[in-house]
Amino acid sequence: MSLKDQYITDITNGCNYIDEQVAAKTTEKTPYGTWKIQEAVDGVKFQLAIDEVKNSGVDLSAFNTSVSNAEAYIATL
Amino acid sequence: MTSHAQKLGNLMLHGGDRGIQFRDNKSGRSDRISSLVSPHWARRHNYEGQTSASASSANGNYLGRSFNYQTNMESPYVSITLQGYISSGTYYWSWALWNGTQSHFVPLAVHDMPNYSKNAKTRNISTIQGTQTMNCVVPYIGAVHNTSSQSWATFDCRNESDGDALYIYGAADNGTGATWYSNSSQTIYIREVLIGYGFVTGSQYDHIMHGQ
Repeated sequence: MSLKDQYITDITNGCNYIDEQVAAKTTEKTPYGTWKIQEAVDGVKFQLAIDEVKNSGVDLSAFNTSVSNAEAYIATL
Repeated sequence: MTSHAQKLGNLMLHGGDRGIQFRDNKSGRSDRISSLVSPHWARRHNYEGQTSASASSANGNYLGRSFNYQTNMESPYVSITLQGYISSGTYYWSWALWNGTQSHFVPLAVHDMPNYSKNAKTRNISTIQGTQTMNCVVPYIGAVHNTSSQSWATFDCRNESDGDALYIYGAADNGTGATWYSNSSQTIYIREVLIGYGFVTGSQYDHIMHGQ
C-alpha cells in the first residue's frame, strides 16, 4: 500500500470514528479534561493537510463534511 | 543520630554489575532496587525518515526501526527518542523496545512513572534482593493524533546480550501505557528516531506540549 493510500485509509477510519461519536453524542473526555472527539478531529485535519493527501487528486469532500459535522457538534458541548 | 554505618546501609550501594544499584529508603518504595549512572549519550543511529505500522496487535508491532545491541559501548543503557503519532480513532499509543533475539521486552531503567514508564509490557529482572518486575512501555506525550516529539527513554540493557536485535515496537493503548490493545483501523507513525548509548532525559529538541 502506498503512503497516500495508507493516509486515505487512516482518514476514512478516523472519519468513521468521529461520525460514530457524533451520532452517539459522546461526551467522553481525555485524561487532560479536553473533549476526546476534538483530538480525533484534530488528527483527521492533520492528515488531510499532509501534501500526499492534499495533492492526491482524491475527492476529500466527504472527509471535510465529517470534520465540519463533528466541529458543529463539539460547539454544542 | 544516624550512624555512618546506618547511612551506608540505607544507601545500599552495590557496584560491579554494569551500574550502581541502590535502595532509596526515603522514597516510600524501599522494596525496589534502582540503578545509577552518570549522564552521557553516544549517538549510534539517526533515522530521520518516517516509518509506520498498523496498531493491529496487543503485543505490539514493529515500527520499522531496529539496531543490534553492543556490549562494548562502555554503557549498558540505551536512550531513544522519536517523533510519532497514531491516526485518529479510539485509542492512544505507546512504544517499547523488543529484543527479537531473545523474545522479550527490554526494561526501562526506571520502573514506574506516569508519562514515562508503564506496565502494558513488563519484564522480570534478577536484582540484589531477588526478582522484580520492571516496566517496559513508554506512553506517548503531546498531541496523540498529530506528529509530536516524545520523551527520551532510557532502557536498561544489562540483561541483554551482545548482538541482540532490538526493535522499536508500538501499540494502541488506553492513554497511560498500562494496557495494549489491537485495533487494525489505526496506524502508528514514527520519524526522527535517535538511538544511542547512555542516559538521557528530557524531550526532543522541538517538542510542543500542546497544552498538556
